[in-house]
Order: sequence, then structure tokens, then C-alpha cells
Amino acid sequence: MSRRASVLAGAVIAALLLWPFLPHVPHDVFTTVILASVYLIPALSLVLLIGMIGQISLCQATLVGMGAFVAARGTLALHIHFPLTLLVGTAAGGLTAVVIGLVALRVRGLYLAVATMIFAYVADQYLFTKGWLVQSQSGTSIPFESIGKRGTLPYFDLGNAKLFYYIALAVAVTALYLVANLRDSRIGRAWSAIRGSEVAAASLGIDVMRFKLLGFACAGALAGLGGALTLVGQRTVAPSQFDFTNSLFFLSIAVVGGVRSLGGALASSLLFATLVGEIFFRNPTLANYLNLVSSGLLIVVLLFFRGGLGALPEKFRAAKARLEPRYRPVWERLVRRWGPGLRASTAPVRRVISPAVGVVSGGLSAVGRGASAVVHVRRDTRKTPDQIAPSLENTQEMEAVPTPVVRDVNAPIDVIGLARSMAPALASEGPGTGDTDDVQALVRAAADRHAVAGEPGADNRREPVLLSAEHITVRFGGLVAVNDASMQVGAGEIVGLIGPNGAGKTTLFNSILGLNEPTEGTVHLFGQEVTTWGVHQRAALGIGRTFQVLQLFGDLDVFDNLLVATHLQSHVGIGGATFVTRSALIAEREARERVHAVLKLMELERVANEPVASLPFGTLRLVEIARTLVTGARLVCFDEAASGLDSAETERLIEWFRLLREIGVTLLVIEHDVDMVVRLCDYIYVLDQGKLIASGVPQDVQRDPNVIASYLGTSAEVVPA
Amino acid sequence: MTTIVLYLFLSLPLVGAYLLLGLGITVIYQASRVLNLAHGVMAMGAAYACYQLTKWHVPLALSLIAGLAVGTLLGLLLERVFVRRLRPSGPMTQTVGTVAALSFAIAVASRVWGTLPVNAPAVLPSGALHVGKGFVPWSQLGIFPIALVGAGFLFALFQFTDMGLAMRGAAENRRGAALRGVDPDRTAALAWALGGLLAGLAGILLAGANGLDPFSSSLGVLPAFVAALLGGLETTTGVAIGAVVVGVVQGMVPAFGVFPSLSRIVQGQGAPQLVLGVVALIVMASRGARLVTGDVRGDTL
Repeated sequence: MSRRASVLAGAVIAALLLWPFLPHVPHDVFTTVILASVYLIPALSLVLLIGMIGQISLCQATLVGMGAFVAARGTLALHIHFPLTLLVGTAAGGLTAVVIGLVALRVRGLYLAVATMIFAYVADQYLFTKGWLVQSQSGTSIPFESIGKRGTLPYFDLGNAKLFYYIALAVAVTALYLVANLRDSRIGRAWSAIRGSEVAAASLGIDVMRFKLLGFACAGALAGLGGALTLVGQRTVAPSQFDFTNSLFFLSIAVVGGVRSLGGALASSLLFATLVGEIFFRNPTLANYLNLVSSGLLIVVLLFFRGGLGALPEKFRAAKARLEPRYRPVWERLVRRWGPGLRASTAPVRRVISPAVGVVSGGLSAVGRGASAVVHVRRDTRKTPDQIAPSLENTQEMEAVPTPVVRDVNAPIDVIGLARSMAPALASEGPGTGDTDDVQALVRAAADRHAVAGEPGADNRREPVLLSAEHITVRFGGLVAVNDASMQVGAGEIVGLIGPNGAGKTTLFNSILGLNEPTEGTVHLFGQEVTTWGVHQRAALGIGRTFQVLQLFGDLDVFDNLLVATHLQSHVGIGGATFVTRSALIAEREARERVHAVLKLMELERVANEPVASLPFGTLRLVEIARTLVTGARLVCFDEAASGLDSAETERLIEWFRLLREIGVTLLVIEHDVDMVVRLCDYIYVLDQGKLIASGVPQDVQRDPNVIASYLGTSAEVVPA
Repeated sequence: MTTIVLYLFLSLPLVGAYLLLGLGITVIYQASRVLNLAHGVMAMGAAYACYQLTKWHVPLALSLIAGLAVGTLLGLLLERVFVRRLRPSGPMTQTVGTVAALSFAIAVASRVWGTLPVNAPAVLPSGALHVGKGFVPWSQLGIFPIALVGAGFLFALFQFTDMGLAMRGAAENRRGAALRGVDPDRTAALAWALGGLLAGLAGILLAGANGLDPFSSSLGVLPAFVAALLGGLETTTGVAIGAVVVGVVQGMVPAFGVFPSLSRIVQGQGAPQLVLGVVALIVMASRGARLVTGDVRGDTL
């Protein structure tokens, strides 16, 4: 399939490149392809914003206009020539987006839609009516020479329609390629995490605000590029080209393409360009219907054809799969019957064609090798577990002597090393048998190898203290949710925080994680004072969490859910992500290796490629735990992890908790199930009505009269100790 | 001084219109947790219906009632087609849905009635109130008391009836309200009908005062969004304060022409809109995290 697709892509590209040299090509076919390129770029900016980040902008045409007008002013005032014109437009669009985003992105949710709509309105009424930006209502014109002056280097004679055809094509394909790179990068994953759940994204160390702003800036830069390209192609741009109606038109293109897919955006741009170029331009009487048709298509796709053009191949495949057993076309039967012979006889021809196709498609991508490497990395994820396991075993054979891991409480958990050391035994056990005895034997073995760092200190607590919350008080208006509560978690401990419903557990928990700032008191994490730090900053220190209500990224599969969590492990920036540098590739491979290791460790390999929506609740709990392991968090907080699990699953969860502790993770467990906490924890804090009413080792807490009273609502005398 | 008073009077119609529209936006947001970007559609639809009927020589009172009915029905239609149907796909898709409706409505209106302004029927009496050297036509000023009556009606509805209580409850917790025997879909439909009615009223009155075209009637509601956001999208009093702030700020901008240094800026084209944009940005920046909607989650387009 993929071979056929690449041959097809090569053929299309070759046709697009060679076809202007054919005699008698009608001029308006050029125009249509150019139009498609010009539509594609703003459509891509919306795909990036809506499909990847989950934010919506209604001022995309305004940003395109900013790109066009600023590029025009730059051309006139600073004598900037053609290739630089595009850069100026890109920068203008990006900077404008940053200014809007700095304000509008402070608020969560859908306010960006309103803010961008207001910006479009203000630009329409004010910005695009001013002489210092737009020369006159009829628009700005730039002289012919400034885009193609003979004697300047590089020289482009843009009066030549054929040449502009190539330029538009090149710009559009480059934009497509760069957006694809971004989507598959660390940054693209951070965006999809934000789209899925902002709280979960922040808990994985993603700076939500910064990445949203980055995304909005990228979308703005793309729109600005589209504007500059329009300017270069037309040499005159008018405000009416960039009004609100045009923003809606671009939105139609993006949604009809199905905002999740780049191929869909391409198809949709072609569709709209064909509509405009071949139908509306040729029949001026129909031109007034353009907006009606585009908004009609938008509504139809939204209501009846979710996923748009981008979902077509999948729907087609699904339909074919349904028909397959009953009906098989004649030609396919013929191919099955005679295919092998045919294939042999055409082999020499194919030997010639496929390298040629390879050369053409390779030449097109700026970093061809980088791209194919990315493709290879991506394909790895689609392997079945059986294919993955040997590759891990191979690496182990190479390192004949397993390196002993000495545990340092300040180092992140070495999941890869752990998975390697456990791989043979787990593999022989086979996935899914769930023999806890074997796992425990392994755990004991692992614990023997990894020297336990913390020694029991005074009061049987372990040193060093990883988390310490002192005299925390949280008030909401007049309500005191937490009143002067202090607690500590030492390295290697399992600490429980219990209390009846409404005791203030979650509020205290949120103060520790950075979801709210305590009214009084301080929080120290790993020796740092973090009282005013954000969630993602604390996550970067090494604190992870799970959620009472699952916060997995619903439209990703298990593997990608875990891959998002490698965010803190690499530092690939916007440049590395866009242009797929060597270091970005290496970081990408390491991230995938890490996820494979955790999948193996948590026995989740067989569900790696399942979408999380299709998995049972108990498995998803494990996926969430696995996600905290991928981040390398040394201290993990579990918010009522046992809620929603049956008793067998709870037993299994307790086993997992112990395993986590043995591999070096410190646990803070929040529960209202006293039994479970007593069995599991080294130390327990009991909270009731915002106050710490007891703390100590499980046996003491169990006998504490205050605890008994708060749980059973009776005085201590009635209950036999 | 009289200039200032005159401009204050001139901004009263804006306050009234934004009050009517902002109330609808808030009621709808409360019921469906959707920012109805198609709010202008209901205003525009009602105004064009009223215009078309009077053109067919239907009596004005009848046209007015029919126009309000069209606004209400458009509200119900938007809720049913774009909001209820798209709920499983999440709030972002719902918002795109309202944008799609807006886009389609503008295209239809441009096709049927053209993009140039038409002379909509005057619902309010002609004549004007003289203030100093200037005057304010009743066709504009009348919007203010009507809006006050509308706001009072809505306030009473929310505060003193079971229905208002049910609507607030359903907005807070859909499933909880459903368990208590409140049909959340019904209360949502009711909210959209109310929003459509108020928007229709504002649309017809504004069209009578300023003329009617597809763009200004549908996008003219943007300041009302700012007013609603300023009011926190929660209470009628909040909307009222927001409407006063936005209306007065916008209406008073040209008044600053009395200062020679500012006159070039404030009397230039688009100055009120620029000021509105700045106010909106300040509102968003200062209220920051308090303007929080639910997480956008699991939505597919």
C-alpha cells in the first residue's frame, strides 16, 4: 500500500512539474493551481490551530492581510526584494498573532474565538482603513521591479505566469512539509496534549500557555506567508480581500478538508480552487454564489460528514472491508490468479521507474533523508509486540554485562535500564498472564540490585524529604478548606493521605501540585521552595500524578499517550521540530525507546496501538500510571486511583504500587478506602474538615480515637480497640 | 458640557441594544455552555423578516410580531441543528457550528437582499429629543427604555419563577438537573428561544434606526459579546454593567474631539471600534483565569 502511495505521489509531483512544458496548456489551469497553493497555506494554519491545538481563530484572513500589507510596505519603504518579501510577510503574521495571543490565550476555552473575531472587526474598521498600512481603499500596489528586477540576485521574472506557478507550488509544498514535521514532533505532541486535556498536559510538564502561544504564532506566520505570496502573485492587494467573509471562507476550506488531516486540507484547497477558478471565474453570473456554496459545504460537512475529505480514505477502507468477503471485483481476482507472473515480467520496468520516483520525491523534500528517517521511526510504532520484543533483546545481547544501576534519589527513574534487566523474564512469562508471584520475584530481584538509598530516620521516616508542605491553609472566600495542615514525604516511602469526603484532601493535593496557591504556608519539593510555581514547573522538578477522573488524551492511542509524556526528557525546540535536525531525530528515537521500555515494564505492549477510548477502565488506570513513569517522575501522586476498580483490580493496583516503589518511585496515595491505605502505606496522614487529625504508621492511625470518630461518627469508647 | 450630555444621550441606544443582545448571549451561555457566535443571525433574520413583510404591505404591528417570531424560531433552529446535534463532539465543534450558521446566514442575506443597506421600517416614532445644540432621534433613543423593560422581564423570570431556577440548575449540572426531573434540552431550547426573541427585538429596533445590511447587523453584535464577557456571563446585573460600560465608551469616543490633541484620532474612521477592541483586550487580560469555560476535550470535527 505504502509503495503504491509513494509511486502515486511521485507521479503526481512529476506531472505538476513537467506539465507547464506541454503545448497549449490553458492559462486558467495555471491560475487554478496557483489559487490552490494560495488557499492551502491559510487552510494549513487553521488545521494547525483547530486540528492540532484545539483552538479556533476567526481572523485568519486578517492575519493573511497583515502579511500582505506589511510585506507591501516593506517592499515600498525598505526596497525589499522577492524572496525576502515572503519572510517579511511571515514575520508580520506571526508577530500579530503573538500580540493577540498574549492577551486572548490567558483565558481558557473558546474565548480566543471571540477575541479573534473582535480583532478581525477592529482591523476591518480601523487598521485596514489607515494610510500608514494600506495606501488607499483600493489597496496597495508594489512596482513590478521589486519582485523581479533584472540584475539583482536572485532574479525572478515574476511577470512570467509559469515561474510564479513553480514558486507558488514550492512555497505550498514546503509549508505542507514543515507543518507535517511540526505535527510529528515533540511540539506537535504537546499541542495534542493541550487539545486533549490542559490539566493533564501541565502535569506532564508542558507549559500550556507557552505552547498555545507558540501554536498561535506558527498559525499566524503561515497566514502571513500566504498573504505575502498573494502579494507577490497579484502585486496589488486590497482590504476587501481580507475581510471577515474571507476568514469564514478559509474556515470552510479547513473544515471541509477535515481539520485533522493535511491531505484533506490539500484536497479541499484543490476543490475550492477548482470551484473558484473553473466555475465562478468563468461564469460571472455565478460569482455571487461563492459564499453561499462555501458556507453550505461547511454546514454539510459539519453536520453530516464529520472528518471531511481527510476521512474519505478511511471511510472507503472501512466500506471495502465490509464488502470484502461477499464481493471481489473481477480485476482483483485476475491479479490474484496471474499477478505473480505479471509482476515478474514487469520487474525490469519497475527497476527503472522506482529509483526515478525516489529521486524526484527525494529532491523535493529539503531534508529528504531526515524525512525518511522520521517515517522509519514512525513505522516502528506500528509493529506488533512480537516484532518489538526481539529488537529489545538484541540490544541486551550487545550489552552482555548488565550495568548495575545505583540508585540516586536525585536522578530520574531509569526505565529503559529497568526494562532491559527485566525483559527476558517478562518475555518468557508472556504478556497478560498476570502471574503476580513471578512479578514479585522480579521485583525482589530488582530491589536487591538497586541499593535502597533512604535509611529510616527518626520517627521511622526516610531521608531525604522529597515533599514537605508546611502549615498550609487554603481559604475560598469565607470557607476554610484546609486549615494549617503540614505533611512530609520521604524518598522511597509510600505515604497515604486519607479522610472522609469533603475533608479537604483534594484542596491540599492541589496546593502541592500547583493547581491552587495556598493562602498561607509553603510547599517544598526536592528541597526547592515551589509555593508559587505553576503545575508544569513542578512537574519538571520530578513530580507526577494520576487523576481520579481519567485524563488520558482520548483521540490518541496508548503509545502516543505515553509518547506525549516524554516531553520533559527532550529539549527539541521549534527549529529542530520544523526542520527535523539530526539531534531532533536522535531525541525522537530515544523517546520512542523509552515508551517501548515502559510498555514492556507495565505489560501494556499488546494494547500499544489501541485507541484509549476502546480500552477497559482498569487498563486505562495502568496507562495513566505508565504515563507518569515515562515522565521520569520520582514522586508520583495518586488521586483516588482505586475508585472505579473492583476488588481484584484493586489488589493488582496495590501490587503495581509496590513495584513502583521497588523501582525507585516515591508514592503519595490519596484515598478514602482506609483498608487499602493501611495495607499499603508506610505512613498515613488523616484529614478531616480541613484539619490534620492524626498522622503516624498505619497501626497507630488505625487505633487513633479521632480517626475512628471521624470515620464511624461515634466516640472512641463505643468501639473496641 | 452640553456636548458631553448630548453624546451621553447618543450612547444610550447603544447601551440598550447591547443590553438586549448581551442578555441573550448570557442566557444562552448559561443554558448550553456555548458562546453563540451566530447571535447576530437572529437579530438579522428578524430585521429582514420585518422589512420584507412591510414591503409586502403587511401592517407594521403584524410585521413586528412576525419578525420577533422569526428571531425566536431562528434561536430554536440554531439550538436544535448546531448545538444539540453537535454536543457529543464538544464545545469547539459547537462553536464552529455557530460560525457556520453565521457564515451561511450572511451569504443568504447578501444573495436575497444584497449587500447594500436597505431602509428598514421605523418601529419607533419619528421626531427627536433636543439636547443643547444637537438632537437625538427617538428612533434611537427609544431602544433604551424598551431594553430596560426586556431586562427587567428576564431578571424577574430568573429570580422569581421555577422555570428560571430550572434553567440555572440545568446549566450548572446537566445530569443533576435531569435526575431532578428537569429536561435540560427543554430548558436549553427555552433559553435559545428567549435569546432569539431579545436579539430579534434589538435587530428590528437597530435596523429601524440605522438601516439594515447583512454585515453590520450580524457583526454589529460583537460589542455585545464584550459587554457579556465584561459581565462575567453569569448575571443580568453583570450584563447591565457591561452594556453600560461598552455602550458609553463607544458612544463617548467622538466626544473627546473637544480636546484638540485627540480630535484627529477620535474622529477618524474606526475610532470607536478601536477603543472597543482595546476595552475587550483589557477585559480579557484583567479577568484572566476567571473567565473559564470547561475543558475542550475529545472533540472531533
